[in-house]
Amino acid sequence: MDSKAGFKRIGRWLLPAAVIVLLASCSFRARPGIMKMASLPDGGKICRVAVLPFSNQTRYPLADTIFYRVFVAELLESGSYLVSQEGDVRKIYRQMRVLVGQTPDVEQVRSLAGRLGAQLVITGTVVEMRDKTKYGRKLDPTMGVIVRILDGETGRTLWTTFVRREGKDYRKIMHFGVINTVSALAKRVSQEILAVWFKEGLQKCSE
Amino acid sequence: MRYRSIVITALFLCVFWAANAAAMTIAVLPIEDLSRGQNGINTEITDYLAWELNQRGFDVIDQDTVIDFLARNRVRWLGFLDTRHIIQAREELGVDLILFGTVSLRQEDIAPALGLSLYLVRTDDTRTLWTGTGGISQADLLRILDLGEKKDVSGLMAMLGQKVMAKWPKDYVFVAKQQQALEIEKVSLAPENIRRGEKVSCEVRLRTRWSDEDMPRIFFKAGGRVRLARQSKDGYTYSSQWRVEDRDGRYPVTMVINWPSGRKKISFLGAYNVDSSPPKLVLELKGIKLEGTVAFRDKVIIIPRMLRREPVARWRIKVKDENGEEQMSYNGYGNLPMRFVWNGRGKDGWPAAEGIYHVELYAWDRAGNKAVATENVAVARTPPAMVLEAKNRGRDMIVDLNHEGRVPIAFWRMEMRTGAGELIKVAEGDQLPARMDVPLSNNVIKVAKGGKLPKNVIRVAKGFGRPLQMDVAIPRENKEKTKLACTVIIRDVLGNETRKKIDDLERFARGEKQAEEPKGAPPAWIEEF
Repeated sequence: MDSKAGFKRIGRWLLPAAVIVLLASCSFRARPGIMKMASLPDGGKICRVAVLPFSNQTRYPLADTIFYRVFVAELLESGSYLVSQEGDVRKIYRQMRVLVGQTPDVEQVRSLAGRLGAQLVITGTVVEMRDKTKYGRKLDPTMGVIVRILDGETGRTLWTTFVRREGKDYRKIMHFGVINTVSALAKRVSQEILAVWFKEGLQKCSE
Repeated sequence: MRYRSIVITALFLCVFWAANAAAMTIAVLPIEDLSRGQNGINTEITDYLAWELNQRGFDVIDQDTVIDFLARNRVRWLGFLDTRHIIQAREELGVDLILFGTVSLRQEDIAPALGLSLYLVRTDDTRTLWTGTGGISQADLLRILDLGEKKDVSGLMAMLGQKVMAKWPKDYVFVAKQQQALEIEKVSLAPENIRRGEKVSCEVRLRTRWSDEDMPRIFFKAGGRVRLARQSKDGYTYSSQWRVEDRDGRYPVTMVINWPSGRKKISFLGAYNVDSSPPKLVLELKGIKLEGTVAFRDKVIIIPRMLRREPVARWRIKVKDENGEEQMSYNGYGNLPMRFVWNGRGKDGWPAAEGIYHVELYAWDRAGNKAVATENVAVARTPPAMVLEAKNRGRDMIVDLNHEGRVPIAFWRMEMRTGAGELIKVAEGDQLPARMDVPLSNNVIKVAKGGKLPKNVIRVAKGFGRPLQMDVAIPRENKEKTKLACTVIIRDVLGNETRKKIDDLERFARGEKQAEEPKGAPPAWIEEF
């Protein structure tokens, strides 16, 4: 009789604990790594932002453009920022004779920010991107990006963020929650980066 | 009663919103499709979005008009726009909103998948009002135990469109508390590299124009000095020119705006380099130096060296003869080549005559400072003059070889052959004069060391247990066969070569002239075989 009660007691605790462990292990993700070299200007109260074209260090065609478009969309969505039109940035690139994907120097960043009236300049590098497994049999989106925040007035790097994610990282249970497309993964990665920035002191324009 | 008033207000708001939306004109630009390359277009999604917006009550501009607008304004890229094109769209198409976007993913092989990013821009102030992104895959639609309706990419399109546009804005008023920012349409700061004493001009075109009460004074600041900018008639452009009197260096230019209210803004425009010193340039010629001048026969390698490296805008190299006539010239833009090669030919393509030539290299840096480097080079094509003397000393023939000329000898080679072509002696070296001693077989008696006797040796005596064998010349029936032939080659360090063949060395020693070598017979036609 005592043993039955003991089993019941153990089962009462064991089952929820196992579920919690299972769920936690499935959905655990490390926070994007952020390195702060200096604090944001204007105490983090930023409204005007220019996003420079990203560079692609992967073999995935147009990985830089794919992530750039999604990141800009999420930036606009998240904080009501006044983000300079991509066409304006590219026009200044052409005038400065800077190739897309090439990193402009400090003076060019200052000049670009001055012309667009941007307080912050954001640039980045896609270091890893794939949408399938190695042999192309299964969907397995993976992405690694470095996104940098530059000061528009001085041109120097303020923050650097690195994040690497796989679609499986978002698994909740069984196949639920898994991200199957690069676009959706880019959206989640962008949201995570912006969440970290907001937590670290970047303020939304509408605040 | 209260409930009724709430319903009426709600209905009124709905009607007002619908009327507001119906009044909006929107242009849907062709959606860029990155899965089809950088110039890819996805017409299916474009048509779907246009239909969807039409269903939502927008007045959608038809695609042909949009494409005409893009062609007319030379919009070469889709997926983004610049401010000028947004304003032009408002002026030419009369649209309030522009929707453009990118298909970031489109695959059909493993599981159909589609990714889309959309941007909605208001043409009034060129602001992005709304964005939407998303991705969908067949794998996302599968439920537990792999149950679910399978769709292809076109089936996913409508689902993705609905998903992305789920948060479509209800109103089109931008909510950001935007501070009045200064936006610069165009900056022209020229030249980027300049010499002291020259003029630099700066022109800035702004996107904003202030009222007369709030009109600021705009200055350009460079090198610690401030210049007032002149405003154009339309009020958008500010320009100034000033003479550069600063020392060599890089000078940033900033725009300082002072409003009557006391507000001040400084904006970085660019920088210019003051460079008044020409590049320091020397020429290095690869070749044999003779009496202080590099000499060559076939080609000479000219290596330009900059003592202080700096970018070169353009260059020109010339080779002139002693009379100042140009024999060769090249020019080019950009940095100097690693090396130049002159093949010793003039402009007409024929080999240049022997003599001293002047190589002149001109290089201009980005500011236009000119550097000149010159060097002399000698063309020497005369073969080394051979001095050959032969002396008959009874048993031996002594041959003395020497050369006349200033160009050192690289090597010489002398071959002695019998009339039948049998090689008797070979000598070679790199120093002259040289002497060679050749025993004449007709006159020589030498002791053979035993073994089998050669044909021209006879046994002449026996004694002391060891045969004495003497090499005795056996008179040949035909004396012509015993004559000595000699071939001498001398080559100097420049590659010039002299070759001399003497058919009969004994006659040459006696001072008799040898018969001239017959010139090659004229080519004869060969009958068809």
